[in-house]
Amino acid sequence: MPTTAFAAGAYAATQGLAGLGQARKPAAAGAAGGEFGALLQGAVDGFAQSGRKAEAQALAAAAGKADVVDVVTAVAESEAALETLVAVRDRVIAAYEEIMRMPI
Amino acid sequence: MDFLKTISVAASGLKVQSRRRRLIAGNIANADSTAEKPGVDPYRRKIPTFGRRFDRELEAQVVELGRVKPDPTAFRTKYEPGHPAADAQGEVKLPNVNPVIETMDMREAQRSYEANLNLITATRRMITRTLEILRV
Amino acid sequence: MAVTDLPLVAMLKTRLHWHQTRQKLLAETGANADTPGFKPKELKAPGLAPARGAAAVSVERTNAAHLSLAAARPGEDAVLASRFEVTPSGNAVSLEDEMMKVSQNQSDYQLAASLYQKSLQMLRTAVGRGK
Repeated sequence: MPTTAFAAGAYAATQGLAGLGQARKPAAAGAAGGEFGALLQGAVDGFAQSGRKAEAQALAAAAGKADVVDVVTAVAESEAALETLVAVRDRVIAAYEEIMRMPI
Repeated sequence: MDFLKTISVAASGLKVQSRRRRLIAGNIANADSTAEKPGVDPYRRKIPTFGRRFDRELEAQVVELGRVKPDPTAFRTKYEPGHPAADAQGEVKLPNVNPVIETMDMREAQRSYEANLNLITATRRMITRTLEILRV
Repeated sequence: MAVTDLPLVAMLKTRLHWHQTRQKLLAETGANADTPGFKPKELKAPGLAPARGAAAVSVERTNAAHLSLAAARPGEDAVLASRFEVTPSGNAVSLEDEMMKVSQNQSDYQLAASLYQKSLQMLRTAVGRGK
């Protein structure tokens, strides 16, 4: 589960992509890039938050001190948050690539 | 953890009811145990007492078997002059055990035992269902 | 945008905790059925306000020495620290009643768990990656 922290960092880096789009096409993509960035940032934050919780619960479970309901719900929600994040990232990248393909 | 604590609490009930059943079985087995000689008391019925204790780790009240009390009820007597324990009047003291009452007590202890066991089974199912949330 | 912000998910999670706590109370009642002077306890229905920080569940306890559920379990959102209000249950309850309550509690819990699982699955389907 330390991979959750690593993954969160990796995905945080991808939001730089949205910033790139913003620089290249200030007119059209500027507003869109900002929204994409915000969307992705939101997903990353949400995932980081639930990922931290899930990791803490898993550690407590390994130490034998956790409530099984807490552990399971934390992990399940973290998984859902991760999938949401990945889906948003994929859409952002696809949208960015499509914009880049547009002839000036 | 809460589910496991629940099971521990129910397990304390199992233990107590189980020992209670053994006590009752002892009463039943000795229902006719007279003394060897006159002047000595026959088997005296034993009664379990229940106490409760607040277990800090479980954060719940568990039950414990307290002292085993002797039943102060008077002994029955039977007229049987030839008996080795017969006194001057030919009366023999018999244990103060009533088999009918003991059988009822035994059934009640059995039911309590099964109720605790049911609860443990139900709790285990709840745990299993929780873990299934994560499956796949 | 955290998934835990969804009121349905949060409410179902509260229900899961509530049923878990209730199971422990029922165990206490069952184990102490023959203990003299034992008063059975019950849980008040949880406040299912979907507002964030659904701490409509309060902290009261009839006796300070009893049942204070751990406040900050590791990693848990402090706002959602779940404690449920315990009330004395009135006259002594029969063994059959207790067994019925246990059975009811179990199926209610299983229902809440299924709904919780389904909600998350539907969420994952909605973002296009659900199983």
